[in-house]
Amino acid sequence: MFNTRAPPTPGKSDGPDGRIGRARRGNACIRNKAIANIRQHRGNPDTPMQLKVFVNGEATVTSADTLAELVAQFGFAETGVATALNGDFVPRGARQTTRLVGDDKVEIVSPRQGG
Amino acid sequence: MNTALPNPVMPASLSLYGVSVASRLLLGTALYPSPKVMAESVKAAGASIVTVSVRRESARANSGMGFFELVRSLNVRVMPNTAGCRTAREAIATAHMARELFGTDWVKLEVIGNDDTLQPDLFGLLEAARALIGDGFKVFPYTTEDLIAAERLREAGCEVLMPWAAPIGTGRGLANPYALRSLRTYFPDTPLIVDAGIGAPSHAAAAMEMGFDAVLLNTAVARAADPVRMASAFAAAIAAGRSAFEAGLMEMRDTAAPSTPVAGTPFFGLDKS
Repeated sequence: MFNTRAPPTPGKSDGPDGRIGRARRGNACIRNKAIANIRQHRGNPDTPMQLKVFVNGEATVTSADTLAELVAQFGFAETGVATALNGDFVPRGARQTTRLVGDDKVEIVSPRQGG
Repeated sequence: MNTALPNPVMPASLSLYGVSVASRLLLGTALYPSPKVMAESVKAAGASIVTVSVRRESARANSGMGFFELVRSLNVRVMPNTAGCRTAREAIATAHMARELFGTDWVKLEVIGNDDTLQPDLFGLLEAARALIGDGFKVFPYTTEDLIAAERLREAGCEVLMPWAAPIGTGRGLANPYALRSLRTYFPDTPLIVDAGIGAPSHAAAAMEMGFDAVLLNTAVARAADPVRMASAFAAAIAAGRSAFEAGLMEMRDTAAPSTPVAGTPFFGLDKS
């Protein structure tokens, strides 16, 4: 249920034309970027790690290591928003330990009018 | 059927997941001309429960908690929805985010199968309902009149069902009264809330006369020329419809029957000679 960083079910996001879907492409991409980032980080210990992630559908470059840091960087109150990572809910208490990797898709939501 | 005669003075109270609910009108909080009109409409409706949602927060606006504060000031119970979710997975994640934000395990579960009709995807709905009930949610599924889907949802642990009257936002009223009546007859002891498609107080009254336990609506009030006044019109119609159901409607018949006594009619038989 909650995000466990398990790889997505193979083929779940594949297109009807047989194209490899977002999830699988994303997964390979995530691994490559993560490795690249770690290398870059090791080489330049003073440079903060920069990651490209998607926040509410928009590509964003961030130095945040964790979901909690990302929420804070956006200026959101910790209790004013709820979060999901790559389609799975991340409880408030787990944001601190949820590390971000490249191309993560983050949702940050708040209360709104509804019918 | 509910054979026990309700007390004619004290209307029978509604219980949803063990919570006693005073008002049989559940109101949405969207589409009002202003937050102030929304708040006044909720008061005029006498609603005990309002629906809310979660949406992407913008770093610039940061407005979500302001809305929630306003709703909190109304002293009503909130029921977050999963509006706009197209898959069980989206609905499940959305329900979890809503539970954390609003601090309630109640959820109006919507899994939408078609963009034009906003029709529930009954298969996704059932899948999401099962998962969420497993996670401790009190699920209020937005469903159709389909009896088998309703049975499966009940088996999954949904203690309340919310069949549509007509597609969301259409205001067409009870599109399939026969199917709704069947559903009511089929599930005499399950709280059934007619949700979506109600356009006029008479539609709501008709649903209540059929024996539905409550009505959930939004657009019909929010998009009225005077939403606050329309909210009280709906409250009156729903109270009237409920009273009518509890009073027991007369049987419909095909042939005319005089209401004025026939015996003692003056001039009776005079023109026979």
